[in-house]
Amino acid sequence: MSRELANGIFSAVTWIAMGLCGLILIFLLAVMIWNGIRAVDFEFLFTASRNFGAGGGIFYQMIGSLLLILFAALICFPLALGTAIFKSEYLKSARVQRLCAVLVYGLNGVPSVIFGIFGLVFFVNVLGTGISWFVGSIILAMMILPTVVLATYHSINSIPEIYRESALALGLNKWQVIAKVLLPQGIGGAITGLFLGLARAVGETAPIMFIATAFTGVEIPGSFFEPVTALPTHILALAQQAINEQALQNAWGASFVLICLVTVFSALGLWSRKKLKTVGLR
Amino acid sequence: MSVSSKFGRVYVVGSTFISATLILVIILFLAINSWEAIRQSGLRLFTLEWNPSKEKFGILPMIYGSAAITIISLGIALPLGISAAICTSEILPSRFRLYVKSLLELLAGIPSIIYGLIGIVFLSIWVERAFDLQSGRTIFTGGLLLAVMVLPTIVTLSDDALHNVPQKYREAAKSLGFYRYEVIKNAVLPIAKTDIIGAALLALGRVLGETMAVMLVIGGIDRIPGSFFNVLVPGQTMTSKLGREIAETAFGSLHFSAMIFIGLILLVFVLLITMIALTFFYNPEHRLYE
Amino acid sequence: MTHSTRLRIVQPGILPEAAPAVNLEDFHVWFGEAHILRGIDVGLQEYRINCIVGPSGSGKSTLIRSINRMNDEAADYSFKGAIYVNGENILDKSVNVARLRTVIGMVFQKPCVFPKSVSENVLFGIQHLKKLSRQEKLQIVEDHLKSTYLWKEVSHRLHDNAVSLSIGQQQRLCIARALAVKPKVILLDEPTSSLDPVSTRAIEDLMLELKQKYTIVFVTHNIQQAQRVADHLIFMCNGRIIEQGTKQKLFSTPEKDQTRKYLNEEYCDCE
Repeated sequence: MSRELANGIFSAVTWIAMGLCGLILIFLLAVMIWNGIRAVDFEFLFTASRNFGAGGGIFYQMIGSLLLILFAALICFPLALGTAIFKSEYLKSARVQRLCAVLVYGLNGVPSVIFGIFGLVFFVNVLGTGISWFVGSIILAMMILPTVVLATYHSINSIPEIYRESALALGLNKWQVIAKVLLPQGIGGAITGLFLGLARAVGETAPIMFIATAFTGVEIPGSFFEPVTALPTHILALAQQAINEQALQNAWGASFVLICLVTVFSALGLWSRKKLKTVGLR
Repeated sequence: MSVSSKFGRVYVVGSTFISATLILVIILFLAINSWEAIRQSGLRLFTLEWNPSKEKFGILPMIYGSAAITIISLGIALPLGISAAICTSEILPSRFRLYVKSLLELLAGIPSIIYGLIGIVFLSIWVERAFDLQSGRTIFTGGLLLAVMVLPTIVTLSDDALHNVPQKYREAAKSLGFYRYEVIKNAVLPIAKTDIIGAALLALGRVLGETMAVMLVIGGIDRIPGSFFNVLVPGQTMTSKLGREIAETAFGSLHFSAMIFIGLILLVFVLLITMIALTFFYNPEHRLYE
Repeated sequence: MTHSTRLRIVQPGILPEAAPAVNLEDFHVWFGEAHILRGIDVGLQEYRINCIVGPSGSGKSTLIRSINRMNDEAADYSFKGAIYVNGENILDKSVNVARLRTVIGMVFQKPCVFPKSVSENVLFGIQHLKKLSRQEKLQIVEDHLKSTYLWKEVSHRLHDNAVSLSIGQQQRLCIARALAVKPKVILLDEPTSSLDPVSTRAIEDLMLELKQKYTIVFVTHNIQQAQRVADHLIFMCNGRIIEQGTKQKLFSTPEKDQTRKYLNEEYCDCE
């Protein structure tokens, strides 16, 4: 019967599609893990790089990446928190809410290379900061801002009205309600959003490659306005020398470490979503 | 109002002000810096030749490249991804779901530079051998690589869209004597349709804005292929142009201004698409985690 | 919502027992380790209203959903026994389940209208089967909306989104949709639990009307409703059928003490 045939064909097509996707994705993972693990050892992790990365290890690259995202977190978190609180507790008009949502979440759609260019134009040239790791952190903070705002907003907004009303009825003013009741409960969501944002930020190349990083001769920056070296840009440099066996191997190793970092932050995000869930939140 | 409340208010209003104006500031600065090029070249920006030494800044090859890569990658990834999502959401037994979803989420988070590395090491070699080319760095390679890159996202978002269709619709259709594919086609897909379109638009925005992976495999030649549909030649996208050359362009020059103009065009395109995508999602919020 | 045009042409009275349209023989159901239905032996009578009552958790929904095999894809579902429709065991692996469900239709507890127009909802079950002319479609829509007493209320709104109907109207629309497939048996799983009293009575009147042409099997936990509407009554508790028979018998002279307790005092102490 024709309907049964159609049913069978449809099933077969979707199974094949899934199988194909599965094969592609497993291949990717296998390649990354297999090549990566072979390239990483203790020496690799803790030596400085030499020879434009073709030799040596990735010690300072790891430190650079972590430094960048640490400060990105420090800059982004208070801003995101304030914005989310404002959206959730102070904004009442639906139109303004939507406008605000569009402006903040629109930021999420901006391609990462544009962030890099903006940094180049605004900070490096107009403000004259030169290649600076701190500027890199600022740009990364801008990039993950929507993610953190979103997570925090959801977390605070979903706290039931009854908590606010009980606190107000006890005589607390608005800010005290926020600081003493909402923030403690909502901070879990904010932290989750931050981890997820950082998972993305640590892997980004384009925002920082023009403005924060240099490929050689950089170890730990001495001041706010010096360049730094980071994992993604290092991988980029190595990829461009892929003919060189050693460079390629180091590229895989650096990639593997980077993937591990991304996974760690993502895992932290998911773990914190479970652990820091409190009363009234989803 | 007490002091702490006043301070609190200043803090939140200030934060929001900064967050909300960031995107406007970015657009503004891009516009300002591309003004010089617009003023001097005007419509000649939309011509075919890019040659800074002759003061020619035609960006059409870049637009062609971006368009070609987008069409190739989405043309592969959308049918493949949505079909796979139908399988994972409707046909696969639910005990596998957790593993599949976790794998997809993991892959969706892999940084693009690593895809670029894979593109250089594997994909461009394969394309070079398969089509007997001089170099595997072509527009086609870029499209193929982006298809693979955006696939996990499409699968996971489409799967969510399908999974969110309430079970009662499937049951109502089944109880009327529908075969499984008829249930999916007549009951589930129509309801999931807008979410899936939103996902496709989001993927579109991602592909247009992707720099690192494309930059490494596209070949960096500012030319539309001799035969319009021949994508087995090197090319250039808006993003790859910016990624490859802006660091070496002298700030303040006309050349630089023209590059910024490319950035501006790119930004405007991507923002438009993202805005349209946001209006499609019922709950635009929960998926912006990526 | 008006009911003045309702014709009560079927007086609830005593009907003789009829031949069974659906026969369950020693039917068991497990979900994983849990033994939900234990040795069900029951005959559901043709052109009567067969009503299954019992406390929550007694397995009523599982029973009715097994008849059109909706449980097949539930997690860890396993069964033993047979269900005969027209002499055929419908639990056999060779049975075309999709075809079965066009013979045994179902109406669910919560009205589930598709987000399409009213007429598209009515035609939903049949329009993918063959090409129908506009004339045929209109006729089918009209016929089935009339048979569920919806025609007068929605004839001018056929192209409105079905979600805009009241919930009582939506449930009747679901019934019309199920009828359009021309089943022989209609299963209703607590069809009025989500409805207000007025809509409830409308659906009950509808069932009394429909039994002339269809075998009705419905589940309810509302004993007064069973008393108003049922012909053949089946009392279940804890996965077993405690007693079954005509409504009159079970309400006035039940054989089991449990039956009397449940139907009169709404209390069941089965373990």
